[in-house]
Amino acid sequence: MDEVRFEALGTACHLLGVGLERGRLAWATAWVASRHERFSRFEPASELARFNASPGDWVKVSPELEGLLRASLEAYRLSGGLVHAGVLGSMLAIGYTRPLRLGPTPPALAGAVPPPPLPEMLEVAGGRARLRPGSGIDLGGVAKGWLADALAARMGDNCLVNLGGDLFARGPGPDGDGWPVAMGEVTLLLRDQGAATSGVRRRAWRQDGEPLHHLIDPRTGRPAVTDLAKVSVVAATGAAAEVHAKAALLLGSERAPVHLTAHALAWWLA
Amino acid sequence: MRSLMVRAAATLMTLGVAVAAAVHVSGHVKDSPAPLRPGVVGGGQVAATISGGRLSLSPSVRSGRVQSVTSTYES
Repeated sequence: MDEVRFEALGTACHLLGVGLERGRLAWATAWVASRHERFSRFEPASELARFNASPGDWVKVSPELEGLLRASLEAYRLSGGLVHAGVLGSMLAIGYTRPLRLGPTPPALAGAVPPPPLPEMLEVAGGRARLRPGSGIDLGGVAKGWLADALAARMGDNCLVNLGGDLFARGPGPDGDGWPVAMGEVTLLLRDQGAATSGVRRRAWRQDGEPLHHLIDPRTGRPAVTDLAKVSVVAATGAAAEVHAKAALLLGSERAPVHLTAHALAWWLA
Repeated sequence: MRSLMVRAAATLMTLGVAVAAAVHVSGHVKDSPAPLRPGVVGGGQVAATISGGRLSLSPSVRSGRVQSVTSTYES
């Protein structure tokens, strides 16, 4: 089994494979790095930043950005509006204006308000997309799972792509029983399945005594208040796992099991 | 002649009933997204409480006593 670890997408990435073509891991590492450059809102020249800078106009978008924007709309639909890529205004208002390794900036919480429904903010047609004026997109809630699925489909027949804990396991794994992946206190054997974890303890800080974190509840426009610390989910794809983990976290411990029973293959609530 | 008329009437009646049934059925289409009854989604699910967390596994996901190669985690 071959593997490589590196930092990209603002997080730790881990790629593994069995019987990969020579040089495939290096190619995959470069693939992830290039997606960071193209889809990070913190990179001024990124395709996403340019799209956010052109509200009101139909903008030509690459097939991958189109795929991510469509995935954002699908995530909104699947989660009943809880996973909302249009919360960029709230992100900026709470001070998450740059990578958190540089520290948050002073918040302006009056600007943290519930966004309109995503389908009213974002339109996607073949090869182009349009953003409502005053809106902005943050792909942080959907991109890692979606990219893990996309890379696993290209990397090899027996591989695992883990982008900051959001992952897709393809093929039979190192011993033929599936890829052994730790989730909570157990090890699961995943084969052609995705997994993701969402929580509110990382990317969190305090401002004037008020706890703030990156997971925005679109119902309030503010950082989510939930009685769950984290939720891990296994689903058919990494993208679906990421969406349902976030939705369950926002729903809280009482309602999360109902949602997950309908949408997930396995889950861990803590 | 009379038997021919009886046969024609029977045929017309059969066709009429078939058309009426088709109209009735197409006007009462089952809602395809409606959930199955009785519910089957949670069937075979394994649930447990471990170290303060709650775990649920459907039959399509297996746990194993092997060393994990990676993990899903909050980032």
